[in-house]
Amino acid sequence: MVGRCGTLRDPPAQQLAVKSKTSLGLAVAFAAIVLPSALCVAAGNAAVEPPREGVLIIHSNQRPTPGQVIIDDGLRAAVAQELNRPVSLFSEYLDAEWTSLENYGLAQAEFLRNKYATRNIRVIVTNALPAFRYQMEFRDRMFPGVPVVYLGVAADRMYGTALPLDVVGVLEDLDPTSTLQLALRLHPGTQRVALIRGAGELDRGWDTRIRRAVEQLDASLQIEYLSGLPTAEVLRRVRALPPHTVVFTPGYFVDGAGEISTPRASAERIARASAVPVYGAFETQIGAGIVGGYMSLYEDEAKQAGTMIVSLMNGVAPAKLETTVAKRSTMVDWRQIQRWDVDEQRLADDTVVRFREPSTLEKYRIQVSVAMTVLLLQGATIVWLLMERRRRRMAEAESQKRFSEVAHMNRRVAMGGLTASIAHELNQPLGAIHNNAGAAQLLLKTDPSRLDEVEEILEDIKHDDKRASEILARIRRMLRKTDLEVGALDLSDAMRETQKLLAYDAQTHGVSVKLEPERGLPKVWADSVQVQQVLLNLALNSMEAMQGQPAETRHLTIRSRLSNAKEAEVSVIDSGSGIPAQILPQVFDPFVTSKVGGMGLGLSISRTIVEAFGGRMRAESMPKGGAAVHFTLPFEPGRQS
Amino acid sequence: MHVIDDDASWRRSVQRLLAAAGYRVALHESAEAFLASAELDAPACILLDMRMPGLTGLQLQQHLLERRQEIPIVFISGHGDIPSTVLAMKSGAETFLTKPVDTEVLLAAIEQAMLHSREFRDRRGQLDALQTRVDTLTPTERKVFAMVVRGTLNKRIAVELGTAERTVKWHRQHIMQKLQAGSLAELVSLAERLDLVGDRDPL
Repeated sequence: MVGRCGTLRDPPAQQLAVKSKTSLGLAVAFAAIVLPSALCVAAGNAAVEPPREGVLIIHSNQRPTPGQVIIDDGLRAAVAQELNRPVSLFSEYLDAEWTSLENYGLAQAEFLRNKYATRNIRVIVTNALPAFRYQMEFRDRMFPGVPVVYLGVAADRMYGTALPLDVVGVLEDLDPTSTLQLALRLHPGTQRVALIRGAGELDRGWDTRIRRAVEQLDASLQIEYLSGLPTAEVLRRVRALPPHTVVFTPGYFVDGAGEISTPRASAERIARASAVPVYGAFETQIGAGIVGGYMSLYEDEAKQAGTMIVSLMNGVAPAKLETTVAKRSTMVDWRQIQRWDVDEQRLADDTVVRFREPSTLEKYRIQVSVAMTVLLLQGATIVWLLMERRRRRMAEAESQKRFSEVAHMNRRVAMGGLTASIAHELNQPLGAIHNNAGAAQLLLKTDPSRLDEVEEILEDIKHDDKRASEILARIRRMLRKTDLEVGALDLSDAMRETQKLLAYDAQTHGVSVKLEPERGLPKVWADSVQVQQVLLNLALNSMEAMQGQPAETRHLTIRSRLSNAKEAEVSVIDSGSGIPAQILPQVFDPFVTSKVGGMGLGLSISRTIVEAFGGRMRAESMPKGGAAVHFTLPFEPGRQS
Repeated sequence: MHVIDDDASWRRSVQRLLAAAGYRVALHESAEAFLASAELDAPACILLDMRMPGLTGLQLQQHLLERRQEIPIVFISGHGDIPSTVLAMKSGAETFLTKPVDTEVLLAAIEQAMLHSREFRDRRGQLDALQTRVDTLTPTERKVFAMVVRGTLNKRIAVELGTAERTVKWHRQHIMQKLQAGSLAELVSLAERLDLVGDRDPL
């Protein structure tokens, strides 16, 4: 309702004025209608909320003074954070360095009063002594009854001053005693202390503080006062300071030549010129070249003042608020600590160290952590891969071991099938040896003079014994469970050995075994036992395949020939029934067999062996009947045909 | 003594042993070579390898049996299996040895075989002499002889031959004289030895 009245308040008033000129009756008539509206307008105006609450901060010095900037920002942040309603903060600068409040303070007061008349100022904040004094002098003209919060005022300046109840604030302790003690502690062997202050009113206020502090120092120290000198002279003097001297200066607002500066700017010039370490009084001087000092913390000061402002705005009685003192802390500039070769151990633990050169790790924290993460991940990946490789190797070794066992089993089975042949073959020389021995015994019994014949017999015995040993060696080679011994191998040797192993069995099966080795074939690179095993498997398969046919048609041929420049091809060809077409594609798969009672492992194992040496194996049925299995083996490295 | 074996070293060792034991030894590397060259007049026996390329030991044994060559065979094998052993023994093998064979066992087997060989030979000699005597009979006398040893009466024989009983008696006397038999019993025994009693018609 109020809002609606508000929107209508101007046009009806206008209308009323116009109509009144034309007809009183109409006006009266209209008045009956409009008056409530006009009343509504008046009620609406009274109900409109006053402008947003305001806080005026009056700074003493020119705007860019570093300390003021920190205080201003701190106050705004503290109020905005603690007050849970919107508020306007205004800042004014009295430029006390160069203005004379005596001359135009009144005009300024008028100006400020007018400027902020409609701004609903609820609290006045004064920063530093000139602003405080100004406010105290003109507050009744400007903002009567508005409570004042002061800060940036040295405590020693307030001693003995009676303040109204609605004036509260945060004091600064500027006592330089701790700073001087800090300087003497950090620079052992100091013999001299130079004390510099400016010529402004505030600057001169330092005399009392400095003197009190000096009184507490060791009396043997030489004290030099450089007070109220022009900057050029100050700089000339500090340049000439002898070693074992330290300088203390609060900086200044005005030098001896009337030149205006700030505590920071002046301290910066002094520190730059000085041959010895310089200590300061204000936080803002840190970074300007001074080593450090025991300083009030502006942020804390602003925060405390902000809390007071908020309390006042929330209706707390000013009398209930207590005057506080800004927190102080020892602050140093790390670069100066380094420059003056100060022993870091001498710094107290609670020292605030500014401008510490971040270490590489600190400076590139993100990059370093990313790099470390990458390295860790890489490391983890490498470890993982190594473990995987180890596991793979173990698995491969395991698989090789398993295959080796299977292959060994296969040889044992194959050789087991040859038991009769082996026994027969072995018994030939053994039988001959026995006969020869018996003959020798008989000869010696009947006619001991026939020693030449006995010698002949012994020669034969030795020969047969060797023959038996060779047979046994051949069998043992096949049955032995050994690791691969890959080396140069003459294929015709392997073929002959196989033929010997097979000879008797072939005879029993009525199979003629023919070898057709190609002459001059280079040696192949393989394990002789396993190659013989392959030949044996293939030959035994062939011999079995030929069982169902007439004896005179059972022929087995083992042939070697050049396959290409790198490989030899060995073929085992029989005259059997061939390989059934339906199993030809899977003939090398395990458990595929056309034999009754066969496991179907021989060919599978044979192919695995051949492939382990880098060869290939294939099977085919011959056009004229019979089957052929061919396999290739690589020649000895470096030997090509 | 014939040694048939495809293993040269074995053949030579057996030859030495048997020669030392006093036998005359002929070596043959295969059954075929033996059949081609062997003179089987003198008492002899064969030391035969079971398995050889070409004709096997068992096949040679069958071959000799078919030819009624009664020659004792001592089989020897590098690795004897039961079926072939049984077959060899059934076919009248002397004995069956496996290599390597103990010298005494081998010599004993061969001595035994030689003894048998001599007996075969003696018996065959006697039979040959008898056969020679039988061969002197006239065709009619042979018919009478065959009927007499089967126990046919003279009267029945005379009817069979269409002759007088007296003529039959006369034939019987001649037969006894020619075959040098003192009695009918002796005549029957003689006929049995020549295996003339059964179904076979010796005439």
